[in-house]
Amino acid sequence: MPSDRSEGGAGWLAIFLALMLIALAFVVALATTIGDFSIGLGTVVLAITNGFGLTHADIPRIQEAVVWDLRLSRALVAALAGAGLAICGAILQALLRNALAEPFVLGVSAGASTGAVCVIVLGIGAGSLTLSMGAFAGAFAAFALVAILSNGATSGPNHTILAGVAAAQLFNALTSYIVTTSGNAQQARDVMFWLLGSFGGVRWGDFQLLTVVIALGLAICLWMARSLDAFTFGDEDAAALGVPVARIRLILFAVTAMITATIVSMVGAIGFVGLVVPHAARYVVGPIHLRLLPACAAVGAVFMVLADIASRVVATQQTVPIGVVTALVGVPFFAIILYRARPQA
Amino acid sequence: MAAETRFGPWTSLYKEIEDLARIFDVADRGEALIADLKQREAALRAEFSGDKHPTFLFWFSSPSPADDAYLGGGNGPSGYIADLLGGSNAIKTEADWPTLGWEGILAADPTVIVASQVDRNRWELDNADAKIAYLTSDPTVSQMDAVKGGRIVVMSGAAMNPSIRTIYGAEEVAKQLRTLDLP
Repeated sequence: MPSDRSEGGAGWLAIFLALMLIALAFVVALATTIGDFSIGLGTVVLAITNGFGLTHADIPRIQEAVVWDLRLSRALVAALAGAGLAICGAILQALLRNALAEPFVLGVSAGASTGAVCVIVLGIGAGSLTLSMGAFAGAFAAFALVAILSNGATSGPNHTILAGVAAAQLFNALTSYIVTTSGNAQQARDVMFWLLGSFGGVRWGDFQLLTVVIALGLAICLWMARSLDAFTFGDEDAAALGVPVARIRLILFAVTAMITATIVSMVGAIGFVGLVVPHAARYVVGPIHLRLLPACAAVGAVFMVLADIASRVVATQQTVPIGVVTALVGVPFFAIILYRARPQA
Repeated sequence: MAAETRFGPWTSLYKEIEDLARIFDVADRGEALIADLKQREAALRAEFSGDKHPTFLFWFSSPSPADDAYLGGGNGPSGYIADLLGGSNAIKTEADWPTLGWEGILAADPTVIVASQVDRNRWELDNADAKIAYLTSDPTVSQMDAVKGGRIVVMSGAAMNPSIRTIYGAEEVAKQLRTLDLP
């Protein structure tokens, strides 16, 4: 029974997290062995141990680089992105007391898209660095707009969601306006690809940046986990329990905007993970955030690595956008959870 | 072999030239152009009909070096050029402009890499020199046989679209192929 698990102390959580970590190690290992370039298992292992400096085996440079620089860095960035989006989803669902809340509900994704499209189509700057910075700036512009519209997040969850919807509409309209008035077919395709997300361009530098941002974000969220629990009862009850509601909400919004903007500027707007994973994790470990957040991180990481593997192998000599896969794989999975979690008559 | 590419043989292009020439009342010049293009095509096919069958990678552009690359796909004009030159496209997809990560490109292991010169200046890698600089300096990509063997050629990016320039592009590649030692 789910209620037993959620009340049942740290033992169940520890077992679950251990299982998920083993699963994560397994899927990352799988990700390093699967790909267009066929490389033997022994060579893969040696390439990884070489990368960590444990061995100095003499294997072909090209195979070593494919495993270490392309596949492993990609798998780990995918894991972090999945973890980050899932954490953000859980936080926002709690803060806004809305089961449909997800990282993009604050308009962050729409803002990032507008920023990226400005760079792609209007040619403000060039190259991937300016693209990321454009996306990041757009994401924070959207976040700032939502914060202003909802009075620095003091005016309650519904107001914030409406502000987020308004911001998303505004920035989506801006994106469409720019693409239709100044883009050509090729640019429209670039934009579409960017909007659906891709782990194609990530390298070790991205991994390091994302590690710092997500570790910091997760630490802040865990530190405020008890306050988050109080939010579940509503703003007034939380305030009665001594939680500084407005301040904590603003801080946690800023943390989620930071994590989401970093992820979106790196790999594009990958939908569905932030919405679904918290529900799945809540079903397994219960709603207490000190347990839910680590579980979300673990489940999100495993799910995203699996989705990325699928996006690479589903079409030969072509990469399918990751956002397509997360939804195609995620919806049936989500359907099972919904079905099993239906209220008992 | 020509029938294998969706793009060739060039009947539709020649028909278009013929129609346009008739509309503008210069049918004789249209015929002359078609004859010229056919002759160029035949010359290339004859010259490269030997026992060397290289595979070509047509790299159109990339937003950044690390990003997935836009390539000339399977049976489009790029495949037609490869076919004219006695070889085939290393990228076999049906899509005209597939995007592919570097692992996929390394796995395709082309004999020759065609770095296209795209004159729009939108991405840093539109420029053929920037492509060659990346191919030869990246520690991984520079290990490809084509790069190690110096088999990188430059071609106008416009030739990767279906037009009369496609044949000129094939000639541009052919000129550089003659100086290369193909395996």
